[in-house]
Amino acid sequence: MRPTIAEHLLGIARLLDDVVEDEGLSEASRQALADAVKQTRRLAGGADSRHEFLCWDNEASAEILVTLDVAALRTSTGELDQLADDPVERNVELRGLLAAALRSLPKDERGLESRARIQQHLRHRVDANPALNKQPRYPTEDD
Amino acid sequence: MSDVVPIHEALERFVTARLGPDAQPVVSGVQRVTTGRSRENWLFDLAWTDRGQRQTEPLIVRQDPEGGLIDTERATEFAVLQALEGSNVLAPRARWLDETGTELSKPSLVMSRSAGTCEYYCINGERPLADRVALGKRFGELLGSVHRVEWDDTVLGTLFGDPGSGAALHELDRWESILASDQLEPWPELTLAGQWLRTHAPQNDQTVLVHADFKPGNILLDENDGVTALLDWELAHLGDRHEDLGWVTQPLRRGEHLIDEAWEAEDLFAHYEKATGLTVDRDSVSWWNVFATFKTAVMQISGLRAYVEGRIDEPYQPSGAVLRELLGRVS
Repeated sequence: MRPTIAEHLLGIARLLDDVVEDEGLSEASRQALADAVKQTRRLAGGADSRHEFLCWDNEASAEILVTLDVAALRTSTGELDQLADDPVERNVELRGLLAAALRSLPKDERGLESRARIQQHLRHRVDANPALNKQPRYPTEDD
Repeated sequence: MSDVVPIHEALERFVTARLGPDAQPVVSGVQRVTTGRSRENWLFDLAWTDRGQRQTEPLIVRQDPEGGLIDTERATEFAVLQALEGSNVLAPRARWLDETGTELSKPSLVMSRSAGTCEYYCINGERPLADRVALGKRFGELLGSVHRVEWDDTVLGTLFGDPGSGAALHELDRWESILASDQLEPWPELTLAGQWLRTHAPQNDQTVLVHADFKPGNILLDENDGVTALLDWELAHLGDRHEDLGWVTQPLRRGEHLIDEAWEAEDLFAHYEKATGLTVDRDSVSWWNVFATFKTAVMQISGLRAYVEGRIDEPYQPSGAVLRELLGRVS
């Protein structure tokens, strides 16, 4: 659907660009407006790729949770079915489950392996997050 | 600015209550020095009569923000500054405190205003290399002077309590507690980091006064690059000297403190050891480097809450650089 959210936000930023140049503005108002433009552009940068990112992260997190090396801590598929359908809410719930799993993992070899898997995913998540990167990078099979 | 008049009038009432009407105090030059809602600092000049002589003093009021990255107590900073009077540390002199904000509308600390300016990136700025290295040495000595404060002769021991050998875990508990109260959503990255930090925490061998936000942005320099004051004592506490050294040498703030090949962490440590007689345990510094990144992430999460609640204007969140650094160090 056009304009996309990103296109719309960039349009708003362009409008505000003109106002920033208004010589009638006080310096404080000009600075506040310039900050607003900067934030709008930052938001536009990740707006269209956010849904894709959340779906990828949700899928990868769920996969880790149902296949944890420590069987007693695995999340069942039934439990996953109980989570929210909305990708934003589901993401919060899945990240909560990852944090809870980290707190419960034993310090033995299997616990360390599970912790390493979660850590690796979290590193990939930082690279793929459009809110944190101008050019998000999803992991490949080489990763 | 429209809010100058009320603070001006409030300040005149405030200082008159402290000095007495016979001192004929006059407040002038009231000026807000920062914008936005994350800081509230006001400069002003005070003139008054003492034993028949007219006196003047440049002062600054630091007020509790409506919401900052972290909540700190103005009263704590006031007590620290009072305790530092008479020490070798160059710090502003505390003058008065409005602890509850009943007189100045917000909890406020009035302190002396030292000459000079802060330059965040003076270490890697336009000065000649030799001058920048000299600054690095001066800052190392300044940090050493903080750690050499004889705190057990002051109120600091009562104010903060001595965490002893468990200083690292004490600080970790503190920042995990801030994380627990401020996070709006789960952060498994910080759960992971917190677990690593807890498992690898070093022992503290000597309790010192820790500044906890030591950086050129908090150091006033005069026109000859002499230090006139170390500012922002709101996070100060008793703890491990390696905490400040870890904060200063954390990779993400390298540009503020170190110079490639000319003033590296090892140069700083060697100079610090020579200036203070205190040793630097490199393994301990390494742990505190990770802690510094963890603390930065928690501060950003606190800032995120403050933004969502409308208390600040900057939409903070743990940055990619902070999360990458943290996740890369806690294996």
